[in-house]
Amino acid sequence: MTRSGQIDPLAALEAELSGRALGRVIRGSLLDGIEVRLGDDVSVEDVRVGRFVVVDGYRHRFFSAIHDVKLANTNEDVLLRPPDDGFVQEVLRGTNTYATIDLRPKLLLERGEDGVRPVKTIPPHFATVREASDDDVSTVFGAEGLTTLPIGTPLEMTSDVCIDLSRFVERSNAVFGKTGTGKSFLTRMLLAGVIKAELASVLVFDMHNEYGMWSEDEETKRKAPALKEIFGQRVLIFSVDPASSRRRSVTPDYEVQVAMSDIQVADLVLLRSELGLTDAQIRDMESLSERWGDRAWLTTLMALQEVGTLDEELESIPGVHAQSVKALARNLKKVTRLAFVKEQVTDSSADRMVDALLARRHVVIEFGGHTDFLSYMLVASIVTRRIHNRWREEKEQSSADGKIGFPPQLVITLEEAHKFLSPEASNQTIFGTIAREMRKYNVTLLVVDQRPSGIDEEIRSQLGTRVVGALDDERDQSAVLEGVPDARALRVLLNNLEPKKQVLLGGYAMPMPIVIEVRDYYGFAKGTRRAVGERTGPDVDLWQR
Amino acid sequence: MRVQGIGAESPRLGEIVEASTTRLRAVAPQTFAAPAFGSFVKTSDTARTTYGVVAHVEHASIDPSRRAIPLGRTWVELEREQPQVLELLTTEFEASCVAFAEDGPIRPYLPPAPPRVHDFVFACDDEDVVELTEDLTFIRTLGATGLPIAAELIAASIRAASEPRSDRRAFLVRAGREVADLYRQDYEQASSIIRRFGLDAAQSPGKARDKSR
Repeated sequence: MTRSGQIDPLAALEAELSGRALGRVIRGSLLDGIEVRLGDDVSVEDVRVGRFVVVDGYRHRFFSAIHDVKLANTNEDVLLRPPDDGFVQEVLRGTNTYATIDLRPKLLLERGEDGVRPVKTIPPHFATVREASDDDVSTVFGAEGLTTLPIGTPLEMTSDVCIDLSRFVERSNAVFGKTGTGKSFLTRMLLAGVIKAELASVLVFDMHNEYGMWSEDEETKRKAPALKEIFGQRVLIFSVDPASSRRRSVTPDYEVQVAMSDIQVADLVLLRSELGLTDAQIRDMESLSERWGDRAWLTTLMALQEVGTLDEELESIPGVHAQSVKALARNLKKVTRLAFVKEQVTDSSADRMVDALLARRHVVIEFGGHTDFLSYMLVASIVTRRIHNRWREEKEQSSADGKIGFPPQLVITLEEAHKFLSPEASNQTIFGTIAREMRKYNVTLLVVDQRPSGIDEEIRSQLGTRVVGALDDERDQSAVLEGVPDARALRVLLNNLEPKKQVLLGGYAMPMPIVIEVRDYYGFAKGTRRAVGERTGPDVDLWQR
Repeated sequence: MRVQGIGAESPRLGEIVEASTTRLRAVAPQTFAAPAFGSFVKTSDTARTTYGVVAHVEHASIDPSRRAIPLGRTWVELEREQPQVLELLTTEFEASCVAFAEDGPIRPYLPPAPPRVHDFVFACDDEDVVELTEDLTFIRTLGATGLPIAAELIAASIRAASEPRSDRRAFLVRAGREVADLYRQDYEQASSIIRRFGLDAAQSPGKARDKSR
C-alpha cells in the first residue's frame, strides 16, 4: 500500500489473481515447519486449519496447508492486564498482540519450471504467504484428464483437486471415516473414476447394497445412482439374496450360490469368532480336510453327522476327538444352513465372476438381506481365494508368454475391512496375502472401514493412498497416520474435519496431503453417466472375451 | 506555493515572540482567545511554512515581574467597573514544531531553521491536518519532545487529527498502533494514551461524514 492510501491497480489485479496475502514468514526450519506472522488486517478467525496456501520465495514457490493457528504477544504486561475496551483491543492487535500460523511446505515449484518437487529448503525471511489461487491448485493437483479424477476442492476454493487414478490402482488403498462421513459415496466415486478411466476391473463386496443400482442417502432419503446405474452392462450385479434384490427393483445378473465343496478350512478360520470355533476345532477341521480331501470334507462331515455314523468314521482318524468334532459339526450347521450354500451347484458363480473380471467387466456382489458377517465374510473369502489363484496363474502364464497387461489390474473393495484384516485374521486369510503381496499379480484392495485401528499394522503400512474422513476415536486417528511423515501436524487437520463434507487425502496417488471438500456426488454421477453413454453408445454384450 | 495558502482572511491566532527549531511561542491578539491544546497551527515566512501542535497555553500578567492578584469580583463586574484589568493580562501559547513545507508536499519532520519572530500563527485548515497527519510521524516527534505532558499532548493531537477525517475510527486505530509501537516497552503508558482517545473512536463518526448529511 502506498502512503497516500492509493492502491496500485496492477498490484490489486495481481492480488486478486493470486489470492489474499496472509502474512510473512518470520521463522522456520525444514524439520519443524514455517512460522508466519499473520498480517494485522487478517482476522485470525478467518484463517482455517487445512487451508491450502503458497509461500512466494525469490526462486521458489512453496505449497502447504495451514497446520496451526496461534496467538502471540510482544509484551507480557498485556497478558497480566488484558484490555477490556474493544478499541484498545483493536489497537493492540498487531502491535502488542498478534497471531501466527504454522505451515509445513511439502512441495515447491521453481520459477520458470513446470513440475512440482518435494521441498529441500525453506522460504527466506519475510517471504509473502498468501491463499493459494486456482492456478496454484491445478499446478499441484493437476487438471481433470483421462486418468485423473477431480474429487473435490480445497477448503474455501473452487478449483479441482485431482487424484491420479493410474497411481491409485497400483497399490492397496483405504477409505476411512466414522459412520455417516460419506465413505460409501466417496468409494463409489473413486470406483466410478477407475471404471470410467478403464484402469482396472472392480470387484465390490457390497455388504449394505449401496454399490449396485441405487443407494439411499440416510439423511436426505434421496436415491443416489450407483455403479450399474451409471455404467450399465459393464457392471454385473451378483446377488447372494436375489429375492431382496428384486424387492429393491434390482435385477441381478447372477445369483450367487456357494457349493459346500468350495468351502475350505481357511474360509472358516476367518469366521472363527462368528462361528465360535476353538483352536482345537480348527485343528480338527484341518485333520478332516486332510483325510477326506479339501473339497469333500465338509459334505462328508455333514452327511455323517446327519446319518449318525460320525463316531465310527472318526475312530480311524488319529488325533481327532469325537465330541469336539460333533460340536464342530453343530457349529458348522450355521454355515450349511445359509440359503445360498448348496450341496451341489450347477454353475459356479465364483468362476463366473472371475471370468467377468478377467474380461475387464466389473462385479458388485450384493448381500441383500444377508447383512450378517457370516454370509458376507464367507462369500468374500471364497471369491477372493478363487481370484487369488486365478490371477496368480494368469499372471505367471502371461509373464511366460511375454504378454503385457494381462490379467487386468483388479481392485477388490472390502467394506468392514477390519473383520478380514485384523491382526489375528490377516496372517491366516487370503486378504492379508493380497494386501501384502498381490500387487505383483495386479490385484489390490480398496479397504473401506470405520475402525482403522482394527486393521493389522503391517497391512496399514502397505496402504498407498488414504482418504480419511472424520474419526473420533484417538486410536483410529493414530492408526491412520501411523508411519506418515508429519503425523502430528496432519492430526490437527484430521481433528478438524467436518463430517460428511471434508476428507483428508494423502499418499501415493497425491502429490501432498490436503483437506478437501468432497464434490457433490449427484452431479458427478450424472456427468459420468452422460460421458459414458456418449462413449460406448448403446449397451453391447461384452460377455464374450 | 503553500505559503500562499495563508491569506489575510485566516484568523490570526497569535504573533511569534520566541522561536526555535523545536518550538515557538506566540502571543494571542486577544486575551483568553487561544487555540486549543493539541490543535494544529502553522506559520509562514515567505519561503517556508512550519507546522506545529499547540503544547501549552497560559494566561498571565503582561508584566512578568507583577503577578495578577485576586480581585474578588466576577468577570461581569470587572468588565463594568475595571475594564483595564483585561489590558493588563495576556494569553500566550507554545507549539511544538512537527513538520514544514517548502515548495512541495508537507514534510513530517522538523524544519531546518526556526520560524521567524513576529510572523503570525494561523490555524491549520482540514486539508492541512489530513495531509500532515496521514503519515503518523508527528506522534513520534511529540513523544521525543521530552515534555512532561507528552502523553496528554499526543492524545490531544491524535484527537484533533482524527476530527476532519471521514474514516475517523480507522485513523484512531492506526494512530493507536503507532502509540503502542512507540511505547512498546511500556504497556501501561501506551494503553493510558490510547484510552484517552478511545472514547472518540466510540462516539463520533467523523466530521467529513457529518458534512455530507
